[in-house]
Amino acid sequence: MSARKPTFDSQLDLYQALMRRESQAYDYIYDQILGSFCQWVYQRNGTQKDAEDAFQRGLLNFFLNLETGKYQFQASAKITSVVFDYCKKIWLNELASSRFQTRATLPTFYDAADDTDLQNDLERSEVVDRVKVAMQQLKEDCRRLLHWFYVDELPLREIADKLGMKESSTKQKRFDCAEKLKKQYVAP
Amino acid sequence: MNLTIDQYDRIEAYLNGQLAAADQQAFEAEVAQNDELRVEVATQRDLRLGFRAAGIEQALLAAQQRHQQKQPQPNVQETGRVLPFAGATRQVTWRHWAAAASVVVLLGAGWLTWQQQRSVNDLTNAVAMAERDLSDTSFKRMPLDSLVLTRKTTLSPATKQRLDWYIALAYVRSGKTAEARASLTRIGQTKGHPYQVRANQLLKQLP
Repeated sequence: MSARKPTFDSQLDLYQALMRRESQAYDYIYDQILGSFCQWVYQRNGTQKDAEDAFQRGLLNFFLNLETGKYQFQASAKITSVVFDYCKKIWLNELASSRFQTRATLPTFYDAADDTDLQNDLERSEVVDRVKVAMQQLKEDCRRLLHWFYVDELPLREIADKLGMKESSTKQKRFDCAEKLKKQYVAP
Repeated sequence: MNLTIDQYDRIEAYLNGQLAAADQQAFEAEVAQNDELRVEVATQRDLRLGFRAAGIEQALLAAQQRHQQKQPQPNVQETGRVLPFAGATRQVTWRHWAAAASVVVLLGAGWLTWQQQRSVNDLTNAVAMAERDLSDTSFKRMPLDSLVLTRKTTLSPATKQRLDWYIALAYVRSGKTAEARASLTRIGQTKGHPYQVRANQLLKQLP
């Protein structure tokens, strides 16, 4: 049994599939980029773990920009090249950090600190991490409810069925939990 | 700002782009006049960004797993050679850690013998001192299992390093001295780690 290799007729098809978080599109990105990106990192003092971490973080930055409209479709740009660039910048920024300064020689043509887009993406990652921490501080029932509604995007009715509650009570509980999350986020 | 459920729904509809044009304009005018509401909208936007990122991370993790299933041993088989650094680094690191752990256990046993009478208060004070100037109260209050889980899922190296420190402190507090020692040693040996000095100081005070 061989898995069907995902293909896309055009860059626009791929862009739209990524917008919808289609697993075929995500698989395509992995298949097309991960191997060559790992090679690129190995050649720049990185390990496999380093490469995988940078790859995941680069992808997250790209997909967040894609979904929030910060990255707009450009017919002339190959999406895999754009994603590769996001991941590269993550690794170059890592190399510039104190953690890696002793083990790498930095390229002179790129200064991660001067890359405003990258620095904005990294600042946004801090916000994402703070939300994650706030979620971890909630009780299991709230965490689960918010995850179902906001991350898995399940309809309120389905969540109410899962919890054996009325839809109106589930809505109230979602609000209560969201307020608790906000309190944790604002004043941890 | 304490919201009512109606206010919450309205902000949510605004952030989701679900308000009619006229309602959206009215809402934006209100936000421009009301500082509290502006802060509230910004906070709700942050939270939704976090949810969105969690959804993407979930999809990425699934894609990563599917990719790994397709390629069980990518390092050796795909390229026909063992790729530099990856395997070698891990092996060396593991051997070093195994050796270091053995030494730590032996030293720890010696210390235990010599230091049996040492007061528990000393350690409590050491942890309190280490914590005194830390501002990240959320990490301080998180239980150990949540810290470990967050460490696993977080993508920011800076946050990972902070979590390493708080995990070590949580081990100390819960009396898991061997784990605390291993964590602190790891931090103490990481060049440029923001808690390197404090980890080494605390390490000296462990029983």
